[in-house]
Amino acid sequence: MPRIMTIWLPRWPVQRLLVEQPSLRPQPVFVCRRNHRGLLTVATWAWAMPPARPAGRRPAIEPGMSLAEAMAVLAPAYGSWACRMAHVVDEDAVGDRQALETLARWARRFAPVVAVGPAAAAGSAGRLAVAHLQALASDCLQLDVTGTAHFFGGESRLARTATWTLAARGLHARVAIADTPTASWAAARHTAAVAAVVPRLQPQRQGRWLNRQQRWVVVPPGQQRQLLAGLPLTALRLPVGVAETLVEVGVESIGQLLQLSRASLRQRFDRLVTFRLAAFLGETAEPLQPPDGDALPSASYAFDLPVLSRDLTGDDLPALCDRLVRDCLRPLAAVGKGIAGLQVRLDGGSGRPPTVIDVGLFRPAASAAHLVELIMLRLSRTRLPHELAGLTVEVVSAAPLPCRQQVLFDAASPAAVPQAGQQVAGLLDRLASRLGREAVVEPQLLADAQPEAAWAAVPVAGVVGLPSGRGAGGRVGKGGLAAATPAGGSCRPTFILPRPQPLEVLAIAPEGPPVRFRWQGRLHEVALVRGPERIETAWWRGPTVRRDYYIVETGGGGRFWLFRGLRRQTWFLHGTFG
Amino acid sequence: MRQLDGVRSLERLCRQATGRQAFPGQGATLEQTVVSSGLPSLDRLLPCGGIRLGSLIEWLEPTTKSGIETAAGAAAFALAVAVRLQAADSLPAGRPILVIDRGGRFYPPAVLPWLAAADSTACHDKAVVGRRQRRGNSPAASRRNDRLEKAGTRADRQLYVIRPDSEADEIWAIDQALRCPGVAAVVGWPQRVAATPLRRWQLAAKASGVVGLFVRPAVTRQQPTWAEVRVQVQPTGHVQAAAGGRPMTGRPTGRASWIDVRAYRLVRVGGGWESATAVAEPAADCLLDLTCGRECLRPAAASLQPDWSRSTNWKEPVCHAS
Repeated sequence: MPRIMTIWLPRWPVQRLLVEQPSLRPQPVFVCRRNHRGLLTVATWAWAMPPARPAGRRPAIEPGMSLAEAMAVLAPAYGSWACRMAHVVDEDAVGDRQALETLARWARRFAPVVAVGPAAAAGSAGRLAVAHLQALASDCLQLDVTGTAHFFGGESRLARTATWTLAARGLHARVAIADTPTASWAAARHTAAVAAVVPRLQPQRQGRWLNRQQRWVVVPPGQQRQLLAGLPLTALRLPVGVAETLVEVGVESIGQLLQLSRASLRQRFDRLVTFRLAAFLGETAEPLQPPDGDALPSASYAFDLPVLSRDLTGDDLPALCDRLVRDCLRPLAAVGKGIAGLQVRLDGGSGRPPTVIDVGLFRPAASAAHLVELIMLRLSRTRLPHELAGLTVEVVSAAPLPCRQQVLFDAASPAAVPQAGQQVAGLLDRLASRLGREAVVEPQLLADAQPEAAWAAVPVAGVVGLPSGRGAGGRVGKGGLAAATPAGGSCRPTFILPRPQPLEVLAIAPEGPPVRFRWQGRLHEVALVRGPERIETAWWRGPTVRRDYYIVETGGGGRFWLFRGLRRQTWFLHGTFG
Repeated sequence: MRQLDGVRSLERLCRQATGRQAFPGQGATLEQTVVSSGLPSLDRLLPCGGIRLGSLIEWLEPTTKSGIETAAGAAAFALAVAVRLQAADSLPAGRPILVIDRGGRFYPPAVLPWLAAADSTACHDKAVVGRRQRRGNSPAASRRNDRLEKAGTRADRQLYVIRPDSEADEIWAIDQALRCPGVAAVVGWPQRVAATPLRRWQLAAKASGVVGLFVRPAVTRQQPTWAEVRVQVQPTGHVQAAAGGRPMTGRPTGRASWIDVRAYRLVRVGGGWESATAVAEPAADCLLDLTCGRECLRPAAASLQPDWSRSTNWKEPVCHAS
């Protein structure tokens, strides 16, 4: 029977935030998300250092409450000053997940197989409304500690070590060890309840006081049926709807559920119920899945003595990078993956921080020559440290390579088209490497009436460490063109000034079209004009933008885009149809 | 000048003698491929009836400046040709357009609707859909709408904007883009380019089959070029000129009004080292619809009659309030 350890990190988003910004500890922190109506609702909240609790009850703020409601609950419990010092942040599900995966890598010190555990069931306590967020919203790690516990002096000590090592990093964790992932997940959520019934088979002589808050619990092998019988049904990760139906018929705990016959359960309830029961008892296998990108390779080279970077000839660094990149590519090639982002660290001499270069790619690549070219393009723009002690190439993200059939006679055959796509990807990588990530963009229309905000420049190269918005190997914004049509529908200028330029304009009528204007020292007579196209928008960004736009064609054939600011009735040039 | 003439004749001699080229940059199949530019009047103007793949075309501004400084519309014309090249049926799909924009002034919302409209059968089709959408959804309109949606969501119409900081980077970026066979067209407005990078660009384009479209100021007309064709783009005032100077308020096609159409006079001013010889310059007139980037065919005489009932057409206010 395997032994699974679950490390539950309650309120993980807040904990992560507090570890990253310890200055927030004295404040109540609310991690919020917008619901489908745009209302801010509380996803998680915590107050690490609350004042001595007043006589009133502890504030009952449930996830899923709107922020205003939460404040209304907080104010009577602690006073209105608590609301004023509350720190409200947006939820960052991707960041939370990545931090958890980093923690999973760190936790490999306890066991070789570490997985990010499952999230709580959908809809439990109204927490997970959005389906795609649910895959991310995990807050526990699961480790297969079969046969590794004795290195730490027994399972109880292993659990204690895990709890307190995390506590030393500022993380509050609850740990449980049981036979199956489902059982250990359930026990970790209810450590106090389980600890009350677990018989002390081996009475702990030392360190017992460490566990007075019942932060960890060990369920002896084969005893989850008896010891976990009193836990509520949510501990089985049953969806709230199913659990409520079971409660209505009088089944409230796992023990009561186990007494029912499995066949009748399968007939009357969701298949999930019997499935979870089988997993709980270990009748069906439930393998742990280590997170993707768990084993990202890295390669490094250390010089015997630090070398002066000016002594390096032109071919030294490329040759060295090539060797290291090939070392990194080898394990990835076996699983059909390519590098989507890598980091090059140039270790300076003693006591100097390393120079770090991040290379993010448009599409994952497996060609060492291409990657070395990108690194060298970036290095040519970087000031090397005076001394070089070593060089490290670390793969930060990897993604599956698109599978391609080799073409024997590559001519203008249809099979050559994906090859062309790959050439474009290589081109964009090279351009982004030399010119910078922000210099290679794909424009996307936005549904905004203000001309400056009507499009967004989306960089095509991914950020290192974060998956780019396009998804690995995918295209930028599938419906980018159709996502929004340009507001107004009339033609727009080819060039636009970064900020509108004031103009001297003569208009006959006070609110009429322009007749002539002066620009760049020349007087332009207006021959044809269309307008006004009135734009009143952006009050949420600052002062309201109120403009009347005119398309103006001059006698010489030039076309300009002018507007009159309605606030001051002044004219500006905003763009040209160049 | 003399040296370069020598280079050219050497190349010709080598080709005659050995059947091969003196300089790398082969691709006999590519060199033969001529694609319609999508604008019939431009096709008539070009020497081989279309755009030869792997060639450079220069669009000369009528003034000494280029880019945002002038409002003559040469850049819009070059972009329209690039969009038509990308949508050409005879070429593989999924090739992006690269716009090399050093000043950072390029405004993509002018062009992105053209990409979406490139698939729909006719320009006014889109306009009709737009009008029906506002008035209500008849079944026919919604069918057309679906078609348009499909056209718009085609993900293989891609445009990337490259914003180099310096002139050297700009030259490098154009060179790199021209070397990549998966690109449909490279559009740029370099201010000053020496002959050497131009030659390098031309060889790169020839090898890869990418078309380079460069907007350049009129002063470069005096300089020799490696571009195959040089076209001077001259806006000919407003369209009323074509209708005998009377204010024209009729509508050309669908929703587009006359101000969405721009009239150009295109003059072929040499290219391919012909600039020295002052022969009669062929010219053509072209009406470009700025809402979809297509050529607007010359309207019938009837529609050129002024439509006095809608004389307030230009004052039609459009309001976006939010």
